[in-house]
Amino acid sequence: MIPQIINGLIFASILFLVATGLTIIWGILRVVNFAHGSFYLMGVFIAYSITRFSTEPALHLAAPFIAGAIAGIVGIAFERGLLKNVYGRGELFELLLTYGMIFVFMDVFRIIWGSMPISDPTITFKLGIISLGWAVVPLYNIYLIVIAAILAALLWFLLIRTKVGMIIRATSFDPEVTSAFGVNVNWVYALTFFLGCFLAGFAGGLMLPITGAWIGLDVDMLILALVVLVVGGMGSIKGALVASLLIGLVRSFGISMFPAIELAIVYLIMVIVLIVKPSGLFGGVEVEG
Amino acid sequence: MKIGDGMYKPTRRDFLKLLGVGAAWALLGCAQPQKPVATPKPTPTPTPTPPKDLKIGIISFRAGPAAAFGVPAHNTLDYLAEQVNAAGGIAGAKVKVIHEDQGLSPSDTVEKAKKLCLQDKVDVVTGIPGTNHSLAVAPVCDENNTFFLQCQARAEYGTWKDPEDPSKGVFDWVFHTANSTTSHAVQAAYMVKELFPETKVIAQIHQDYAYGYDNYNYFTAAIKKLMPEAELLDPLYPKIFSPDYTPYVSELVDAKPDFIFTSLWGTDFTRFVDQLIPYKLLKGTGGNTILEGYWDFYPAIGRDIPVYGHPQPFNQGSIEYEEYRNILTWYKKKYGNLEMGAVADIISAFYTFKAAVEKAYDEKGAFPTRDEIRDAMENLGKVPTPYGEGIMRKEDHRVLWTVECGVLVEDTKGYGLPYLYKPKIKLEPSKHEPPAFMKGTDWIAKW
Repeated sequence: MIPQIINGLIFASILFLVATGLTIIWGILRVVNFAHGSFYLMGVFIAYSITRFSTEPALHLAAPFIAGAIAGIVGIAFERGLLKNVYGRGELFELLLTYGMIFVFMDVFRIIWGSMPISDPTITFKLGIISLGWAVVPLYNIYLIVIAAILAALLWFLLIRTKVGMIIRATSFDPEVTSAFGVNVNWVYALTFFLGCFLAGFAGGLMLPITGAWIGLDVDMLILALVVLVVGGMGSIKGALVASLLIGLVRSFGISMFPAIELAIVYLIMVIVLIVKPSGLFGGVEVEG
Repeated sequence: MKIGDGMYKPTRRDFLKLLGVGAAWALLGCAQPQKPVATPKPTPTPTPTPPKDLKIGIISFRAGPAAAFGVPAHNTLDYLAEQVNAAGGIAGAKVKVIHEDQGLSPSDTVEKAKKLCLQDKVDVVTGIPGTNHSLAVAPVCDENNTFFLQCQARAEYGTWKDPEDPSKGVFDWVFHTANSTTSHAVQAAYMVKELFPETKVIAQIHQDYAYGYDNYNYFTAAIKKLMPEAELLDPLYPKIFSPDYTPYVSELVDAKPDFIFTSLWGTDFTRFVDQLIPYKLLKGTGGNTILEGYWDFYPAIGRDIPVYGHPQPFNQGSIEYEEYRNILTWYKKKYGNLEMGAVADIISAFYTFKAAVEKAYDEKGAFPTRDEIRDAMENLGKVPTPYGEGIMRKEDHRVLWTVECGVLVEDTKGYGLPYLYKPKIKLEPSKHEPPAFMKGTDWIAKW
């Protein structure tokens, strides 16, 4: 049971990071970024390129941070260069743009990294395993869970306890009034996109040693992140956290106990939430801790 | 080789495509009905005039999780065509290769096959992993008098007109040049018995679709005959193309089997192994469990095999053949990675076609018609390839191979290829392939 809990937490950690990025962007910009999975995939690919330089564990542990930062910068370029041009034209334009970018990113990735799947488990091998008494677990898996938890805490701190967070939340609540107070809302949008894409890219980098990447993984991850959003509630980070844990653990135990319907259970949860509480477990439109 | 029956699950991308297209239609207000796909019309049999070139169309994955299997097939076919063309072609005709990326649904693959047959007018269609894809394409090629050389799908009934009724015979233009799923599972079972006779507990992990189920059924049936005292654990069936195997790894670590048999292929296999190695369960990593599976996928993503002792039971060819070794060395040097199984598959199809054209040419003394090549292929007998000879079984259009399988050891001969087997066993076709028009489980039941 303990190994399956840890497995569930790993999956939940990654889901949380990706879904939180998506929910923050939705909460502030009211845009469902269909290309969000592409930033996750970008993170894996960039981390892979970084780890080509050396087998030094420090570099491999740093790779997700660098990958996240680069994904964030690309996210800003995407938002400032493309997405802002369709603000106010209706959700369909935003949907088509972000959706179309999935395929643009796919081809860019294919050109840069090729069509072959990639992976690099070096850091997992190097860190080895740790005995927790009742279970033996790769140390990297524990690291992944801890680092995701720390990031979640930092995110909460940023949004709730800092001035920047207050501005972001204010923009989420009413961008026009926030702007009237002298806040450059465009800057907030760009920052939000950076943050969201950083989280996706960082999560991707973290998963390089475990799953690697291939063209198409972006869509898989996007769908799971959307499920988390629906279950947790659009725009709610708390909801993303609870839904990620729920789905991660259910999936892990589902594999162990009901392997034939493991995915069905995950989607069943989503269906039940949609019926019982259509706005999600912690539904709301503003970014909330 | 690695893909068998069954429907692929991942239609989410298809869904997204539909979503996007639908939204675009709604936005632009220009939705129009799609043109119906042209019904394939029989292609007239070519005249005996020497063709300018022989066209071979290959459909296989060029991106995504199955690319590790598809890309080497595309690349190898290009290489073989270049080599043959440089030597004057096949019976004087140059070989032209036309590439198609395989879709996730059989209907996509059928459309690609129609395009190859009707528009490109190829002589041969090959590749096509996935028996459900392969079964769908077979009648298309047959109707168009175009060779379909199955080499990446594995069902022994792939050439049958009706997979449920062998009495209806085989398609005229469909041939199968590689080993079957039954062969793979039976080879694996023989390896346990011959090389690891002390095995007591056996675990299995296969993809959650028909190919995985077939492997489980064939292997289980064979083990029950060969090693009735062995304990077989319940199989694990992860979803195909799953990125995360950690829950399954935990199950295996808890069970601590002596032996794990897996038919996971492509990067499913590599991800599984990557996630399993840190637990030190496998022999060579600190444990004692033997893992038997498609180890050729492991270096396929550009990584040397880091641990000792990996059974590699599924390759047609032996590395000891110089010509074959040269192809593998070329591949690894050019692309920095090597997926040996896909390379071997394409070699089997290419050389079967080459042998048939040359045989028909020799018999006629002029360039043969496609019908004459077909007759020659059916009566080919021996099929010479860079890794030895296969035997064409006329009854069900299958090329059968004597196989070598064993434990991978380090490159002790300086070939730069991690594919030497030691110890190894050799199995004649009658030991690992079912008789014509018989499915694997029926055959094994009669052992």
